[in-house]
Amino acid sequence: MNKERFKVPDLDEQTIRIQIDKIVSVGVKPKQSFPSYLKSMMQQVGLRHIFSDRLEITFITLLVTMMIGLMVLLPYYSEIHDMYGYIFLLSPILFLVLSIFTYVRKTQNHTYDVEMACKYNVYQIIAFRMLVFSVFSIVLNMIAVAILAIQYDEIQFMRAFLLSITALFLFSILLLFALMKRRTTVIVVSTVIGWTLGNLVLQSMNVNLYNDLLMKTPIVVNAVVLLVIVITYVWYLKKLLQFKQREGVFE
Amino acid sequence: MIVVKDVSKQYGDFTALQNVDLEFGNGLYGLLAPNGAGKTTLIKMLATLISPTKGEIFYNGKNINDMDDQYRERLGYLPQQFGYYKNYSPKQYLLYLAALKGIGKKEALNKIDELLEKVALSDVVNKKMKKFSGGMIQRVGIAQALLNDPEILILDEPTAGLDPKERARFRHLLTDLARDRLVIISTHIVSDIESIANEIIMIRNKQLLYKDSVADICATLNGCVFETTIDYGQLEDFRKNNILLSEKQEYGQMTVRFIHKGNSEDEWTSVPPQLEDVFLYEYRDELEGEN
Ligand SMILES: Nc1ncnc2c1ncn2[C@@H]1O[C@H](COP(=O)(O)OP(=O)(O)OP(=O)(O)O)[C@@H](O)[C@H]1O
Ligand SMILES: [Mg+2]
Repeated sequence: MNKERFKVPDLDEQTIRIQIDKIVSVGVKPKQSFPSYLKSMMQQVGLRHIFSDRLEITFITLLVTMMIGLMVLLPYYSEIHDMYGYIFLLSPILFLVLSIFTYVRKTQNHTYDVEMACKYNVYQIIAFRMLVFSVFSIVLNMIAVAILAIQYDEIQFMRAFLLSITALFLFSILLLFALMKRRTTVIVVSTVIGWTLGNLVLQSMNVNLYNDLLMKTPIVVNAVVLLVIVITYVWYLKKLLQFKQREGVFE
Repeated sequence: MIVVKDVSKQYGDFTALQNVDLEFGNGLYGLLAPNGAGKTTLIKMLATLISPTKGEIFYNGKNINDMDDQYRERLGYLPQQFGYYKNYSPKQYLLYLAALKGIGKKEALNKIDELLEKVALSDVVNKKMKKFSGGMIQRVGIAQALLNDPEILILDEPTAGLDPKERARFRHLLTDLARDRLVIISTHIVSDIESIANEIIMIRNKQLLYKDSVADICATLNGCVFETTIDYGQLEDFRKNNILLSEKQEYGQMTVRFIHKGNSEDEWTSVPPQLEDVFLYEYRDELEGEN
């Protein structure tokens, strides 16, 4: 048997200490689960401070009033069979506008540096707000779709609801993805324009496939699609919570 | 303990810091360098606002970016430009930041009273900050950094805008704080730190120049700093042969303080080097470029 000793590379003391501490810390650090993290954030920061911005509250109230008005008025001016399409198109917009607004306000604010160094930093507050906004938008959607379904027998509540929520989360994912890449503004703006134009064009051309997709897909398929999308959404949201800016400049 | 290990930072193609190695234990560290040397860059990395392009920063052996909120919990930070909400009073703003730092409201209220007292703002607790002077805002910033009783306190040019009285008060506060925690402050004003810092850190040409006590840094110029009196007309000549540190005009004559390496002349008086002398000497190229 070869009794030759292993040659230990020359490591300075500091490197060794760092390595040891690193190994220990990786093993020891308890990782909080996503829901419990959100809960402790809610308890420690509180809704009052998470939505501390008076301008934002005014803005939200205005938008919500507009959306509800639109949802109620829209049926008078369009064909019933277009309704699914409109819901699909409009439902994410509210969420998007709220999220972008909060994102821009928070990251461009001159208090950014101070807030970034707090335990709950800017990105964690943004992620939390986005989550609240999406819940908020879901509730709002539900109400709007319910109003439509009551007024018009042709509209099935379940289908319209699933559709609008799917649209909402699909959009949220696109947005989260855009936020975490650089060149945020370009991506976000082109996503919004692309989404709106794409939907409008498909709708106005009355493409059969598009209508079939919206109207005739079995509800089960809708539900599965929604589930996948929601999971992806939560995954991205968790990433935003741990998001760290790589560079000093923001574009 | 914070260890900065082989850290470089690039902004696009521009290198702001290169291969910096540093260690900080408890005590007060003064980061002293002229404008644009990279003080804020280093400080922002220590505050996890930006990440190093190369290298890592550890706190008690753990990478500070991986520690995430567990690091920020222990951190107090005052940015160079302290932003605030104009319509908030100091109390409202500090309550808001306390919430972001995860401090309970009751605890925060007590702490806020205590801190505003410390920075002499007790009588404007509920006044809107848009009515504050620059120095008052800065003191809110200092109070804010102390909210969570941080183990690590990092202040980027905290004395900017403070009057001499407030500067003195602030130095006392810092000496007090640095007894049981790690305090790093950046400045280009030598007198802010030379009497209180345990160690001075100087950066030049994107790299670490000194990390030493004031005495040891001054010792690098031992026997090279002189003072003498010359006629006004001789000044130009004098400037060519020596490195001028300062000049004072008195009764048509000039008293000059300068650095000369090599043989000295009889009428020169050798004086003990001060930190300011080292600063002016080491950064003479940078400082000249500015004038
Ligand atoms: N976001 C950025 N993008 C590009 N270059 C930057 C950025 N921030 C700083 N720099 C450059 O990096 C260098 C160091 O800047 P830094 O702000 O760290 O200096 P400083 O020592 O804090 O100066 P001062 O005393 O004026 O505050 C400067 O040349 C600056 O132009
Ligand atoms: Mg600076």
